[in-house]
Amino acid sequence: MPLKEELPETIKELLEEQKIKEEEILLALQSDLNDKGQFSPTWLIATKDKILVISTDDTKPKLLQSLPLKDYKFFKAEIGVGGGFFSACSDGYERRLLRFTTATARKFQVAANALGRLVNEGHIPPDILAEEESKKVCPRCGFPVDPVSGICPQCSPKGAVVRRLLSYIKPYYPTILILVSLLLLGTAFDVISPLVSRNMIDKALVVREPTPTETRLALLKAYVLLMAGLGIGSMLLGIFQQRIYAFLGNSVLFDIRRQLFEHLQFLSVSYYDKRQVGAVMSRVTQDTSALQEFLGWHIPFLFSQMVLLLGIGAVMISLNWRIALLVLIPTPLVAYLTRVMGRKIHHLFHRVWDRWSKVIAVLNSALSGIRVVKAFAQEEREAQRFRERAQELTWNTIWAEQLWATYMPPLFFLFGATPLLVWYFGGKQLILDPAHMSMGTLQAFISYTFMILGPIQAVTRVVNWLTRALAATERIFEILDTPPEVLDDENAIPMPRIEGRVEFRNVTFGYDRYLPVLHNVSFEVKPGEIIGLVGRSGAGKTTIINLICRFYEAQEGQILIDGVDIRKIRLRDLRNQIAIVPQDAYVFAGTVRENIAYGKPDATLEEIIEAAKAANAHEFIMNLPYGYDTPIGERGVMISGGERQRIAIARAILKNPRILILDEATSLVDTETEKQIQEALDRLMQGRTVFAIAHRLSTLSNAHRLIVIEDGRIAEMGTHKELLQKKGIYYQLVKLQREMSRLVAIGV
Amino acid sequence: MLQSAFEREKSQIRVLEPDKVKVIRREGGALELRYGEEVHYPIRVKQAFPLTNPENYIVFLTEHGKQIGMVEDLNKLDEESRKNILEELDTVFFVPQIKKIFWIKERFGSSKWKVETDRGIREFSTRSLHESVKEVEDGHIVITDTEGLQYEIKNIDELPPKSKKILLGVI
Repeated sequence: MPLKEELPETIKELLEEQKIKEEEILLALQSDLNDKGQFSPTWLIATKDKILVISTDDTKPKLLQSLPLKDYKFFKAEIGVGGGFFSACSDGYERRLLRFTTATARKFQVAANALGRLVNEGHIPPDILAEEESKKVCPRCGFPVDPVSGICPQCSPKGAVVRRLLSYIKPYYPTILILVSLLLLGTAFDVISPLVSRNMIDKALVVREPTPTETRLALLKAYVLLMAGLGIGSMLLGIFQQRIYAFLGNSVLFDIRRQLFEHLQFLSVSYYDKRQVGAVMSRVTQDTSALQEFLGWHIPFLFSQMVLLLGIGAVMISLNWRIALLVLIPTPLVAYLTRVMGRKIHHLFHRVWDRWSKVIAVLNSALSGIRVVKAFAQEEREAQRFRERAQELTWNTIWAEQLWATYMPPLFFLFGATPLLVWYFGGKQLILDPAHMSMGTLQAFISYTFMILGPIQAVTRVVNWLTRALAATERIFEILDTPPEVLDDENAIPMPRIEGRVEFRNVTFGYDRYLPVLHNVSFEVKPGEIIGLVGRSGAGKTTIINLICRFYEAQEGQILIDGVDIRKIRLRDLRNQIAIVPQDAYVFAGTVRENIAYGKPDATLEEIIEAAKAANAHEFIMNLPYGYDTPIGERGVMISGGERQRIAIARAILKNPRILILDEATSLVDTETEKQIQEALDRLMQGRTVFAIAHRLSTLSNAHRLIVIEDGRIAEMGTHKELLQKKGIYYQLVKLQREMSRLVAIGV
Repeated sequence: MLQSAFEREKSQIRVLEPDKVKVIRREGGALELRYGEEVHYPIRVKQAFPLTNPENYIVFLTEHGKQIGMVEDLNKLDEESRKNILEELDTVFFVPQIKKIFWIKERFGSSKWKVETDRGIREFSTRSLHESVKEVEDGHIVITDTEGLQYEIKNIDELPPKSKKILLGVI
């Protein structure tokens, strides 16, 4: 993110008056609001020892504030709803510098961090400048860019994408060659057909020179047979074409979809933090489908229609160029009109669809919550809500259908108008100048007039199709181009057996590098030690765990496992020896057996049962209808949170990890279940290094040491007894929980 | 500060007597709350019902988010305190009111707008109109732009006829 935005000339002049040289400026950011809350750019400018705020409300910019930097200790960018403010602070003093909307809030958060470090460290560290800001809107056209890839569907260059897409089709070139030849042949049949009927009319039906009846009848028979042959040929070619399209489109799609999913699996956790799962999923489902539609349907259709257009045009011009022009010139106009009308009607029906979804929303909430509705005796109000929504749907549907009914007939009439022109002018020529126009030719023209509508419409849509499909393709390629998580450094150290010593050395980390969650955290854990992580939510407990698993990498400091920097350990070895039992255990769609053996697919049946027993899960599993073969997860048998939790524990036990992480593993279950889970966990913790997070401090009773985290820093560290004697934060937390639950859980 | 973090959890709602409340804007722009003998500075203010009852139940907080107390009705405070609070709320609850729509352009379901608001003229863009334009109640519309900024139209019937036509053309 650039901390120095391009300054307008007028502001440069003002800075010159203030005797500030351009190279002295360390930070120059534009906010979009003035101090009265009106949309008007205001600038925040900082040098090594000064902060300036400049308004641009009038033609000449005005210096609003000029402050010595050394008077302030830290800076804040506070964001509310839609807007916020930037302020400079020292002990017990706050000075508002400027206002901003959420559109520019982000850079002022960065500025707060940067200026704070400028005051305290004397310079702005270069890594603050390193990170690229993700754009939400295309700088060229102003429309939103794709939220996952940041690509503008309209403005990005297309050539490279097309070439890359073609590389996927390359293995299928022979098939494509066959397809193209079939296509050309089929089109030829279609174009020839009216010519045959022309000859039939002129030579057999409406003859000018006297011809014997037998000859005419024979000719008629021959032509009809020829037309039948052409028809059957065209049909057969069509069948082959469709079959090949189906094969080609889906094969290419499979290649892309498979590659996409494989790639998604190897992307880092932080990739998914920044994106919604739904948005990523739509890349795999919708974008690939859009691509399939394009490859399997639009491209062949367009191609065949183009060939058809050229064929018909050529034949018509060779038959009679004047009449040909009569057909070719107005047709695009008609096509254009249909498109405009189509859009309008599409909008109306889109609105109907929107109202439909609102009706469904009412239905859904009222019926899913039927118990609540009844318990609060609100049936009549729900009925009223439904009536309102349904009525709106009805009216919108009526409007849309009436509009359709009114505008479509004139449009269809227009379609029929070009043939009228051909009838009139062609017919006139037939009467006045029979040498150059025959009944058959006239008939052929009429056929061509109808045949040409398809290709013309295809042409009007081609831009739209192409843009959509290429946008989808680009989004897919963007994911494929995102570098996967670095699995193994070249010099990665294999660690087949981890002892379990974990050390944090001055670790500072933020998911967003400008907003650190952990500050300078250091601690050392011996193999086999059980550590309880304590602190309020958001303090940074889960973050510590994420770093131990190397889901993220620390921005500053080092994390060592058995004395080796975690970044140098072979990731596969590391993850194979760490197990997590999360707060909300996830079960995959599959059987109990598959779920327990997830981390060790080749586990024997004894091992699985042993693990389940150790996890206190065997008993409930045996009560399921198919025992260990019972399907659970999505579309499986419903199991409770506590049962899921125990399956997760069994999964962890089977993996036999060296480092075990319990992330509030018992927070979502009742006390009885908690006891069972706690028992299982105690067994699991034997002989391993354990990090346990718990809100209920009672569950940490067997921890060897506790680490209390507050606002991303280690506040206290020691045994349960030591911390109680210290009467610090831990003491207060224990007291608070006792007051709240009146549970004497910890043996004091 | 750590001490206060735990007190925060235990704190109860404390309703302040309006006569004793005085909110002053100090040099530098941040607000100070005086309540009898108590002095709090700098403070933050927050509405309990920002959309439906913006002038009732205003909560005062310390800059670290600890609750100091609440006033039930802003109009019972003296004029200066009331003005200061409203100005502060305007800063942290910023929802421009759309007065006029110049144009709306659509492309692939996303859209670009040029509007006149009570905060001046603004161009913005939205993702899918279906998700960005919400009808809160009949004729009361809230539009969320790509940056997360919201714009409000309290009553579409009060828009100039041309603006209303443009709006109805897309929703």
